[in-house]
Amino acid sequence: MTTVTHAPDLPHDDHHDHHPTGLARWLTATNHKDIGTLYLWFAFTMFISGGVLALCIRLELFSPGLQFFRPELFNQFTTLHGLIMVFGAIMPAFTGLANWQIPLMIGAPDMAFARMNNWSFWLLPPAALLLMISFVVPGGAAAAGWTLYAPLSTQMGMGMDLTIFAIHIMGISSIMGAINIVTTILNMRAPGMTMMKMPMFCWTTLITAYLLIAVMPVLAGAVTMVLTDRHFGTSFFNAAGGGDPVLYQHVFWFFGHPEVYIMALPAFGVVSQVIPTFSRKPLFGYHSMVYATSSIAILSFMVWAHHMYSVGMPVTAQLFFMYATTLIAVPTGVKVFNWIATMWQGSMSLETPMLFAIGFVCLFTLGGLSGVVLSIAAVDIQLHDTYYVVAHFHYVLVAGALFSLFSAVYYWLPKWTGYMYNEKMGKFHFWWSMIWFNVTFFPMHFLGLAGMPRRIPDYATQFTEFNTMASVGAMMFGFGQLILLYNVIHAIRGGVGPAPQRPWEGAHTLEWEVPSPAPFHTWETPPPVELVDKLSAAQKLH
Amino acid sequence: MDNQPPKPSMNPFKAIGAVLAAFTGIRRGKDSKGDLQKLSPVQIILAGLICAAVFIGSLILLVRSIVPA
Repeated sequence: MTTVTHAPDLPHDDHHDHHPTGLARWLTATNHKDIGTLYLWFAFTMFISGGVLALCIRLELFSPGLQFFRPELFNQFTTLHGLIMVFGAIMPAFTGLANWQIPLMIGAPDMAFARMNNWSFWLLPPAALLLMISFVVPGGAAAAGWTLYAPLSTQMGMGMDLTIFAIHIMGISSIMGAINIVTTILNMRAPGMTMMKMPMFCWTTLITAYLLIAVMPVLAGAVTMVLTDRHFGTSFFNAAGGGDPVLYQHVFWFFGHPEVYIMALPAFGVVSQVIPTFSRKPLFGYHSMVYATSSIAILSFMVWAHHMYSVGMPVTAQLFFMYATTLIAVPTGVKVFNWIATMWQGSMSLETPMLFAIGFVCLFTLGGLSGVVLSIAAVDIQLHDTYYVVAHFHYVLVAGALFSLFSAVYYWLPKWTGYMYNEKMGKFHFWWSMIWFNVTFFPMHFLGLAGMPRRIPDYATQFTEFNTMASVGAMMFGFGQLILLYNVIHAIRGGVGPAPQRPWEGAHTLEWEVPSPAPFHTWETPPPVELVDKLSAAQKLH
Repeated sequence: MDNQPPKPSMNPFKAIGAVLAAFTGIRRGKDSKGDLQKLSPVQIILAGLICAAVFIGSLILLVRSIVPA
């Protein structure tokens, strides 16, 4: 099954791993693999923290009435759950993947700015700490929802200031990470690796990095204006002082919508690596995938006000944003079509990464479909701020971004650890997640259609059954993630045996040309042009 | 193939056509290979920006025509 190709730089690799050990190794890390590992563990820690908050939310919503938490605390939970999952879990996890994989996949020895890479990562733990300690400051954590809408955000206690500061820090970290990714991909590709021969994951990460550079400063601007409104006498969002709270929503969503694609595009990239590998066929329509990703990125800047139909805007503007949003379904549909066409008549096998990738395609499409429903202004007036929206974006972000991350972890774990994970346990993790995810979030569509608003700690009794179902599903889904943790730790400690250099016979990208586990330094000598050409030919890239 | 010097095409409609085909995701394999050889990235980016502007403009015209003045 396994084709082991001799890695050209093998003789240099294992004997020159001079690096500090213990804590110093991680604090002073400049190696892309170490920093990738740091990012991934940080993201997992935040995923568990945000998950605990989610379980607190579902605990309170298990039955009507106030059982466990005051409404103020409940609002803090929903806010911090959103912020932690978006900025602490999903975004750093993809940056971690990019750090680990991009140099390996393009044949570069490391990221372009190795020390800035260290700084990008180490800004994150203090930012996370700020968010966590905001729960215990007077007034508690931010409770305005993850969108931090004014005037709520201009009124709260110092928890909001800590959140603003945390967003500033995480934004700086993201921008530095993005600059690093762009520079690495544009300048450090191996000879022969043209842009159109790059693996799809590198393309989607590159486009995501441009999106990050474009919109993170916008978010920083928005929260800085909130900060100056709060403390320095400005009235950007205060109608009494000549400002306008709706301005905040426009600025926020000008960041917020591309942000959705910042979390989705790298997921597309992962799936575009995994599906061809386990279908044993080249990716169908590689070029159209690259172009569709670019189209989505450009269109993502033109649709922001579909998040605010109900706030009031001219009909002309509503129609504009409605049409533009609906049209995003075209390039997204291209991608889904291409993944299905890749699997079509392929010699498929269903290992865990492939299961998660197929789960992604099915459920992300469902989330996209409910997105098209919400894009219709007349419908959205009814559904705005209901559980339908909650169901929609969890299909996109949990079954979308998170499932693709699981897929990526199982796919590359043999390369990272040098050991094979337990396949049975991986498949169990997939089916467990798939079933309980749907038990949790599918009923939320019905709740939303029936009119249950989001971000409330209590609800009318007619919503009880679906809420109970969602709460049970959430508990099961949440605790099920310990299977992943166990499987990863098991793999690190030896798993079910050593991983071959190329554990997946259908994989034809450069990372499978280095030994497993990937040595501390790889591609110090760039891969030979013949190897790059051979792999490109295997992927039918020209 | 990559070592051959690129033959730039001066026909702007080629780049626009490539961008439109990219948006809809339908392109003949032969044409797609031709795009890579004949069009430079700058041409494609410019065509992309023009198409985006035309896209916005036509959407505005469309909604203006629908909404009564």
